[in-house]
Amino acid sequence: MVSTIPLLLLAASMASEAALPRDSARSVAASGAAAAPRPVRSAHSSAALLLSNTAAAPGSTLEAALILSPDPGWHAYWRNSGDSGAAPILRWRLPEGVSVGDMRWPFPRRLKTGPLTNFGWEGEAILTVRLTLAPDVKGPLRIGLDAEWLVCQEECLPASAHLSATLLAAARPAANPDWAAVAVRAEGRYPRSGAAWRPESSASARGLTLRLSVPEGRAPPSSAEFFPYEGGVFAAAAPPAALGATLVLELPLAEETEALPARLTGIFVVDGNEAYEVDVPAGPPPAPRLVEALLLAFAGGLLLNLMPCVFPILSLKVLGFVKRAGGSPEAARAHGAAYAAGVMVFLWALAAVFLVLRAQGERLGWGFQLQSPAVVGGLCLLFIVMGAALLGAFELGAGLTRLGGLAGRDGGLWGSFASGGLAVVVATPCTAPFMGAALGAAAAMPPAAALAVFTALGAGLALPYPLLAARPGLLALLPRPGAWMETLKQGLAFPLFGTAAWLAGILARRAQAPRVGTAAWVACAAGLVWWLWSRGGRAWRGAALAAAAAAALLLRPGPPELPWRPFSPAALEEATAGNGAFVDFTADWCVTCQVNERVVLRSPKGRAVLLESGLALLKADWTERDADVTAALAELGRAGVPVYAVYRQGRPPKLLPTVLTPGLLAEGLRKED
Amino acid sequence: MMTRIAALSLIVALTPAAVFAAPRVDKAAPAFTAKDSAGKDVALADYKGKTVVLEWLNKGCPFVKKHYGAGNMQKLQKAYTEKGVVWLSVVSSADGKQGHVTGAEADADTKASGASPSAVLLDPAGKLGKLYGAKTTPHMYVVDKDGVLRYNGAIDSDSSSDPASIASAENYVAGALDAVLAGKKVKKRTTKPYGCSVKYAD
Repeated sequence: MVSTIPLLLLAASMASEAALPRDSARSVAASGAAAAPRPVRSAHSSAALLLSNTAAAPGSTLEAALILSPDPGWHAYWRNSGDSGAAPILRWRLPEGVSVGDMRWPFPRRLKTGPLTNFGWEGEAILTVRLTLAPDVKGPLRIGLDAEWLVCQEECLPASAHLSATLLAAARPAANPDWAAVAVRAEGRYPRSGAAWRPESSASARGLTLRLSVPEGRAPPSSAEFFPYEGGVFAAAAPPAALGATLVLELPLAEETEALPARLTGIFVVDGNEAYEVDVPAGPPPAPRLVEALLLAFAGGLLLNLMPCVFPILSLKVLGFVKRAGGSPEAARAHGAAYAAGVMVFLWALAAVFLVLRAQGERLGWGFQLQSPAVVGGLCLLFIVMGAALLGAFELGAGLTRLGGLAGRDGGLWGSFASGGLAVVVATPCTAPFMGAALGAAAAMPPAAALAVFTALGAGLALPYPLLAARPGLLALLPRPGAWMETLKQGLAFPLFGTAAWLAGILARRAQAPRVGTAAWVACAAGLVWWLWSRGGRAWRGAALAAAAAAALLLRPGPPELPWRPFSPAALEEATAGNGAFVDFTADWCVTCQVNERVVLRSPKGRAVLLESGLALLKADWTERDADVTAALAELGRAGVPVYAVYRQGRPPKLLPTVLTPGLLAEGLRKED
Repeated sequence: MMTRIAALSLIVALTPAAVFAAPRVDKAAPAFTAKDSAGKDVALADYKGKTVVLEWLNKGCPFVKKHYGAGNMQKLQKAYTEKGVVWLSVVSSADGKQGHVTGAEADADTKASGASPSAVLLDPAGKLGKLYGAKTTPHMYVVDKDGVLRYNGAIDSDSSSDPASIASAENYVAGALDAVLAGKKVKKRTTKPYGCSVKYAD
């Protein structure tokens, strides 16, 4: 204490201006009050304004605190008051040369009243701000604060106070002797940076999911809850957090919420006494973790064997088996292993290309190689040659071309290896269930993990053949070899011709000549009908007629196109803001997409469901590389087509199953989940 | 993973917020029938073809007093009922809680405050309140002539309890009504309501 007079003059004075005249600083000084703030009573609570300093140097900063003290049994509200209530409203009255920073709010508690949940404080709450003095500020400074707050027990009362405190701008700063005690009480009530908890937000079915990793060396907390800064977006009542090394907090949106926020901002409180701040992007749906991705990839690979792209190849392999029945089990196992090796090596090669291109900044997905016309053309040729060989037009040579293991003799191990590779090459236009999620996750994973996912996919794809080889018992279930094999072999040529026709169609559409594709289909169908007819016998001729009828049915002009609009981020945004959007992520080369479109989307029921949903229909065409479409897929956690997604304002995008049925489509488009 | 998701959804489903049906704007407003202060049944369906305002009311709540004390709510009621809008004030205070009124008391309050609602609905069981997810007094809803909810939220943009704040605040209800009556899209369709909690039965 240097002298009495300045100290008295500088004493931070707490005053209700209703009770004290405007020059309250002088009157407090005259009354000889010490620095202790005199709280103002208002409606079952009191408020006081306290400065950290009685004197502060120009150009320096100091703290100011509003101390709100509801009476026992009463509470006041946090910056977001929750379902009801109201946040305190603070208006600073500052002299020239003093500026105020952001308010620091002590963390609240959840307070329940009936069905409602509010965020507030039942005891003392110390709200602080930082004041900054300009370098040229002079003299005693009057810091004024008009505060309004609501106190509630069962019932609510508005409270308010006009508070002020005085501060001397002086070269020698002087601490307010009352500050230390307040600082101790406030200590630990303010949120700190939550970065060490690595917060991650992802869209969930009902809102957002916040994941927090407990920092190393810290005991897992016994409780965790989140308080959003913004009111009315999330349901104030939140389900309990899942605890452990990772905390999982579900944040359901409030029922009336229209728009999912772009960022998740707020605080989380652990153990009821530590608060941390979160400000992260709201985030896409969670990518499956590695183990889940591996399991999904394996299951997807297994199912890929049944998709139209791979099924002929697998059938040929099995035929080769039957042909060799009676051969040594060792040889069978060796062929099985060679086939599996072929699958794995080709898949790894594909993965390597994928990873290298990704490292160069390309954004790719499953089937990316089919976005190249040269690859499509090459495959088309390959299928024609293979089909011709199966029909017996010529005998395929030894070595690599002994693809189906059907080229007479014993078929070398290289032939089995090559047919494994072929299975991978022809599989790419197909997307089996489960694969979408697995490959979508892999696309975002580090190389080693991505390679593991590709390996799991390959393991699933390769499994049936070595399994058959290793268990001769299973072979007994297959029919005995005979003349039927030659017939089946010839018959399997037609799916391959069909695939070739479809690949030709892709090239034709690219060249703006879609009728060329149709012509290829007609040629393929005519060949099949001719082949069936030429086999003679009533049954075959019947089959030929049935095939002709089916072809006519399939090749007749389909139901009219749906009124698709091309996808663009802007179109999606506009549609989402309106009645919502159904986005068909598709590609001409994607068999699964084409089947879904024909059988489901354009079917009478699918058409009705889509048109009656009121959703805007957007087609995201991925036939050729398209950065916007790839980005939109990535946002959905996908890296391949087909993907069917429903976007509605305020809801996370909803994904429909990869293999659709009209029923699943109708269910997926239903408005309320 | 499925079990975890199932368990979480179960927890979510069981949270108290789930008892709130909270209708969403631009969707059909939930149909209801409630008794008015004269004991007469009033149904939303009765007002097909008319724009309807729902106002949650608790005369003891300071935020309600802010708008009635300054004559703001009465002014809105008068201005819009004259334009053919149906204005329903709803009291969801449970028996024994703040704001609970009998029909006669409700009518006396209406008269004393110079209010002109089309009807005051008595909802002591909180059924209507929970159907609409009414959280505060006041909490305002606007339903258009086709029965579609067009606004859900606060009466205005200033959550102060000081009546002086009314003049400078943006009145969301007036904005929504003007848009609905003009056949235009409501700009602010959902806002966070402020005020006292609705005094539901525990």
